[in-house]
Amino acid sequence: MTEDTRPASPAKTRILILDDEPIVCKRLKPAFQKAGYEVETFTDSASALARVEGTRFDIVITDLKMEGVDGMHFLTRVKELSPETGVVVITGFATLDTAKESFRKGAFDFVAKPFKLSDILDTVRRIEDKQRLDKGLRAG
Amino acid sequence: MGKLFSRPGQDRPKQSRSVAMRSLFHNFRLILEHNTDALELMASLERALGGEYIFDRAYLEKSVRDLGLLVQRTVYRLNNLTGDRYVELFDRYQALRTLLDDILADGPDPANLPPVLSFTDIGWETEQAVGAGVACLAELKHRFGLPVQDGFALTAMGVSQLLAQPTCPPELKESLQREAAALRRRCGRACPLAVAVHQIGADDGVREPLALARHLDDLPLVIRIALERHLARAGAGFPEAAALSVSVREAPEPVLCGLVRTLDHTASRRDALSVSVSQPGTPGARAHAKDCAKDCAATGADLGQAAAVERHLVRRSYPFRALRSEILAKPSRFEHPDGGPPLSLLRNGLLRGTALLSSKTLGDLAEACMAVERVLNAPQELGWLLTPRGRLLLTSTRPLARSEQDPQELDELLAGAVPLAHGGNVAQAGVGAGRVVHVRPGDNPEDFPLGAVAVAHVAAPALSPVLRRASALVTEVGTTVGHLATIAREYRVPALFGLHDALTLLPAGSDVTVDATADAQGGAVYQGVLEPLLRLRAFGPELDPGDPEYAMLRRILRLIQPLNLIDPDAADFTPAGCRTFHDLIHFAHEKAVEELAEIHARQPGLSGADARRLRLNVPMDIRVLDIGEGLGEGVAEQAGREIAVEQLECLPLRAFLRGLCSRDAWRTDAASLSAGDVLGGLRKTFELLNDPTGAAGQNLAIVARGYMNLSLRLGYHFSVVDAHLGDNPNQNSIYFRFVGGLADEHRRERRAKLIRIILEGLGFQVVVNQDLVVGKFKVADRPDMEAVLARLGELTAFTRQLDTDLGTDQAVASQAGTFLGLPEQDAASGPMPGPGGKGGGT
Repeated sequence: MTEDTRPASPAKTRILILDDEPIVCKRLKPAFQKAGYEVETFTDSASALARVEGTRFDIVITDLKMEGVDGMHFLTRVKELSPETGVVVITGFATLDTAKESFRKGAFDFVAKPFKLSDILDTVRRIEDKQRLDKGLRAG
Repeated sequence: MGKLFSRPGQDRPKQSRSVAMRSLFHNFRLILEHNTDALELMASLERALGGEYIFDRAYLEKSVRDLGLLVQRTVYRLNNLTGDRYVELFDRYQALRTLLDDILADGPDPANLPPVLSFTDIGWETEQAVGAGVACLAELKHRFGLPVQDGFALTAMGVSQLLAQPTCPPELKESLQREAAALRRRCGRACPLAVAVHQIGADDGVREPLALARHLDDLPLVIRIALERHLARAGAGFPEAAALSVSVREAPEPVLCGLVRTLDHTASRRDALSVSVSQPGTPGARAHAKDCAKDCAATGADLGQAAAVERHLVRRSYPFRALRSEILAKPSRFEHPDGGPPLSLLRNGLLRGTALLSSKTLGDLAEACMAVERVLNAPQELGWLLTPRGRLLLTSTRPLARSEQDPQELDELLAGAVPLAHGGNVAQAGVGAGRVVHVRPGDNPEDFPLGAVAVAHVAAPALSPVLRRASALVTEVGTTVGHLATIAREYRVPALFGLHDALTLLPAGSDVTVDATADAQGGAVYQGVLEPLLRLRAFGPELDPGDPEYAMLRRILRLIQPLNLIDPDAADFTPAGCRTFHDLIHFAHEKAVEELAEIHARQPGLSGADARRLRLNVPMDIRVLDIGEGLGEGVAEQAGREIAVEQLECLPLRAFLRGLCSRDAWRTDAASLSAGDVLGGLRKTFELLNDPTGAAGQNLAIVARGYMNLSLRLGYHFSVVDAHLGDNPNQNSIYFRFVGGLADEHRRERRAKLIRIILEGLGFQVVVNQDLVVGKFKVADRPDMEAVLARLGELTAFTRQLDTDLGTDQAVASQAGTFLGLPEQDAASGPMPGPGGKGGGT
């Protein structure tokens, strides 16, 4: 696990990335940081679960197939704790069934590995747009 | 395809023949489909090296599994097609699959490497056997051509063998001495050899040499002593399971040595590269030399303070000018190690100056070190030395700590940058800057300035040599799965393909920064050299050579991607000669085509009703064998043996015939023959007359709607065109082979050269072996493919008896120019790609 030590800025979108393959976290973290996001990465789902129990994230990106708590369970728990959090499921074992189930459980998008960095950045921007819209509707 | 075999009222023997034919073509079509799918998967794996995609180990495992299945099915189908003639292919498949599974399981090096490896045989993929530091030096030396110490390594297995016995096993001793002798042949007979020990898997940068060997006989003993010293130093802290390797490198006596940091902010806030220089044997240099030789712990923080050390800050981009220099005072008669006193006049009209390192050598050193940074995707600290003969050598490299990036700084920088162009597709991620040089047809790649930004119309394979010298590449046309994209990834040169109007938007001579980052849709080119952008973007989320997944992907690709079997007539074109998955599917494809092309000879019971003669307006006899929707509806059922071109539905054949039947392509004048031509031709005529397959003189097109395999004997030339053509550019490809000819050896070779020039002009990747020419054209959209096929048709007619006209090299240039419509000197220098409608992909 790695943590961003800089003080949290309320203006920044907070992203949690969970993938048991370190290479995915290693490469996604600087990409999102460079794009101006505040990022925390986890390679074990138990630690990530403990983190989301106590802290709210705007966006969660999670792998599906992991040791211990799997991605589907993690997705379910995140949505229970914070329904407005946008969740992106990333997986190397994409099937129609898992995609359907992910959407049923509230995932915003389902991305098969390998994927382009630019694609996942676009997905995250779309979540932000939707969250802004939802917020506006609630306020209005 | 069913239509061909569903004619009612046929008698029983015809029905059984129909079933046999259906089975034959079914197997053939499946081989083609598996071949295409396998090539797609291989391209996707190779593309992952470029840094644009996020992938993990699970993806690699799945890809190998899927690819293995496709290869296995291809082998199965070939054996179905040929009556189990190639059962041995299953063994080759199984052997390769086992090696790949070993790699995926992180097992010992699967390639069963020898215990002693020359640097030429070492790459990232052999890292497990020799350690990352040695693999890194060898890659930099031999793959990227950088001035790095040459050498060889004793692998972990070799170290185990050496330490297992009190004396060196004779075979191992012989291997060590053979490699040492070869190394000395490359770097000088008297050159001392430095022996260093590396702990594999640890922070194994290139270590301080522990011993020097001057006599080859002593080498095994010196290596043993170095190993024992290393173990003694490590003491009880040495992990039992840890593996060691040994590097043996050339160690010439230096006249100057020092350290380079490719990104140094200690003396200036500005991004700069720092170089320290000292003269061995002078006061203060000893401490500096110790720092230089020290392993990765060397900090270099006090370099500027050492008594005999000079220091330079240099720009990080071409032409690597010095920003600031701290030069020591010297006596007026001081003789520089590289020759001449300070006031000697240089060729450029300037005085030599008092700095230990001349400005030219400083520039060369900075350029080499920046190339290392680009390859390793991180700022580096490098040791270097200069030999008495002025040879620059890099002796070590280790990554410097990356500084935290501030996204705000990047935003501010980009807000102030002037964009010149946007778009294109990233073939290799990264950022490069320098002066724009337009690469035109006929340009000599060796003239391309080091560190410049290459801008060209087409991403053609002929640009490959330029990539060794360019800091970035931009093209107007091209795709990220072509051959040039592979080369860009190989050299890790930032590359943007398909940037519309790049030649206009990026004027020659202007300074630009090419931003081909992986986290943006497309790329951008900015005005000027934006050094902070180079720093901020170059070390982002791209894949590092140090990542285990990168090394694993490279190791996997080594057993998957290379195509070693090119010439079907070569002695090693056998199942046993298949060394990669690519070899296996290519071999299966060739043999499947051969089986159909010679169906009359090999399966006499199946000959007869199937091949239809094509009615043409040129003097050629082509028969067409439809394997699925290659003929118009109802044509197969029509009576008569002849069909018209209009009745063809086969897209590639129709395009090819457009060129072949063009009136301009056919010559009517008589070709001039020499006595040698006639004598040479007699032998070939005899061979053809004795062709046991009876296929001599037959031209056969095996067709489907989007596929054609055309075997042509035209005069004394034999050519094969194998083309896939559809709406998906990624699946489109042309394979062209040309051999033979009625002429003496020299004229046939000139003819091969002519065809190479023409094919490269059309965008083909070409391999020539004597008078055999093999060209490949991949990934292009339908109009481009049709245009290229039509040109191949013209070429086929054009070269009908051409080799008898190629009496001189000048004639080659002249004929190539005629065909390509180029000025003669451009055609003569050959391979640079030409713009405009003559092939768009690679």
